Amino acid sequence: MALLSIENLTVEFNTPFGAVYAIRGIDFTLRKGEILGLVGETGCGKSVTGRSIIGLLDDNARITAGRILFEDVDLLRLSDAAMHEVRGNRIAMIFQDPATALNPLFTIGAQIMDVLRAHRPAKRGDLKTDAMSLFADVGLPDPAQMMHVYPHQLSGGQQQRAMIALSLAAEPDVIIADEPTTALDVTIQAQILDLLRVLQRERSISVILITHDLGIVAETCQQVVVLYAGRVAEKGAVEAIFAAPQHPYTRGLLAALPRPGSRGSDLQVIAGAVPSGLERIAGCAFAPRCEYVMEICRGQQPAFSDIKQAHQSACHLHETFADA
Amino acid sequence: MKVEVGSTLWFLLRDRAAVISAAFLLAVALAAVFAPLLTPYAAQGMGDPDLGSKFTAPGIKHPFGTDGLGRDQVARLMFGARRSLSMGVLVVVAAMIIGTPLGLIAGYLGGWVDEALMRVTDVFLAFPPLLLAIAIAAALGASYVNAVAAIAVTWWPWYARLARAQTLSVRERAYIEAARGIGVRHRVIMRRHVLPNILTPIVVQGTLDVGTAILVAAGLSFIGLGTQAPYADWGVMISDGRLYFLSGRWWLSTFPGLAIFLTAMAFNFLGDGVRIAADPRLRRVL
Repeated sequence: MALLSIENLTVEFNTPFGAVYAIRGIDFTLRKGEILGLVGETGCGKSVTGRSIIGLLDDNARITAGRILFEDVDLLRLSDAAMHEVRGNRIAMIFQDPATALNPLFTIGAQIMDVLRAHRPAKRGDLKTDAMSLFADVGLPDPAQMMHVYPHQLSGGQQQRAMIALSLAAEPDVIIADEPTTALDVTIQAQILDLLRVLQRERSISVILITHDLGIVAETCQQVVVLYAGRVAEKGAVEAIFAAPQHPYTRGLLAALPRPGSRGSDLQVIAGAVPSGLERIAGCAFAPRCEYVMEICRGQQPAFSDIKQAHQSACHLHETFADA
Repeated sequence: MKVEVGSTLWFLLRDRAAVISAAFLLAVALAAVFAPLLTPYAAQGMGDPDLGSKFTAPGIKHPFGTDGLGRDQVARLMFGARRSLSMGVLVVVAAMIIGTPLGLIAGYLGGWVDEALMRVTDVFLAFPPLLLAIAIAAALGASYVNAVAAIAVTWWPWYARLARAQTLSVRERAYIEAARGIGVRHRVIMRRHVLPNILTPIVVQGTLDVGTAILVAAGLSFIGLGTQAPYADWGVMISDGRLYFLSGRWWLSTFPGLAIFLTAMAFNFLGDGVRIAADPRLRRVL
């Protein structure tokens, strides 16, 4: 069942150089209890999408079209006060760098109690027990000791665990994790991703995992949305897309992953560069870099074709093949 | 927080000028508090004249001499310290209490709130501070409390400006955004996350300002708008003594002047020490 639907979301930024089209109309659906990977390269609109959902865009950003339906309520139409009830209580967001995401002046115990107190008023003793059980749930060692520890006394992985515990304190239905492991080294990264999976399973929390790492998506997610230049290139079940990528961009991305045995040969690249956010794009955003580019690609934006059930790709090639 | 305060103190104790200054200020404060026990001339300190011994030069009996009403200058200085020190501290604390929240709100909310509050501070900052304080003190009437109020009114905009500038930098930190992401309210973010993180430079500015505030308070008393006779503060003592300075009774203005000079300097050294000790990047200077 659809918990969160993004429909034709379009976001612009006002800059001294003119309007930057950060998101050019994207659609996808997050179902209850699943982990959805939002992938793409820098500047494709991954983070802007996450921030649009939770209503934390910068002041110079403008949502010019679209809807964000959460349990059939359009979040974009909510008042600030109503949005406040959603943020934290229903949808929480965690960010890339855990080292700076915690207030350096307070113990993490004090910080989690703040959140608990705000979201479910209870007696102090209960709060403390709740805080410690949250610390235990996210795999922090010695929860009683954690109550008295300052952020700088934790390792990066522990800081991210603490941050996840903080976001869980308000019992949200959806967690948006914006590159939660980018600042961590690989073994810690795996542990944090494991933690997200456990939380998803045990608390049936839905997660939007924003990342540029296809390995993380394959490992962690059930659904994946591949973004390119502010549009969805391809989306669907992870197994389907990794087994048989349809969009030339997705294929290029997967081909560009270095593999064991490829040592010595050149890395595969996708030639060209991402279009600037300042450009208006008439046809397919990927056309200038696509090896299969056709005349129609430059003039007309491709619609989604159903490859299989729950696997869609936006490319004119699919129509060509379907016609033939 | 414990760790931070502990290490700040540790570094502060290695700063010799700051330690000496702190000891001096402590001594002055103790002398002010326990003045009635420390001097045999407590009544004179409170203003009682002793006309038999007026204009006595410094000597064994009166180390700093006596004034035109025969009052012991040491006792006058000790009792005067009560007013001068408390005025300096009260002015700064009042300015901080008014200015810090306003600056924090302006910096955090931005937009028209920021514009409005900063234009108000501009109005205050457009006047020379002493002139504005004189005007306000004169309008309110000459008294100790009014003098404190008058100076604090001219002083808070500096703290509003400082708090705003610090807030502008702190509000961009990741932990503020992270708090927003998990649904913490603006009010709570301002109180729990911004305020504690802007406090250090404000407290440091405060220690530096106490000395200056004592000077301004002395200035008001000097022209008769502060402490009223028969009580004394250091500014009043300089003012009273200045007529006799050139006629050879130099001790009347010199000792209170020295007291102000040393106290203001001690506060400056202490403030400087706190600033360096509280900033991990500057500590290697010590």
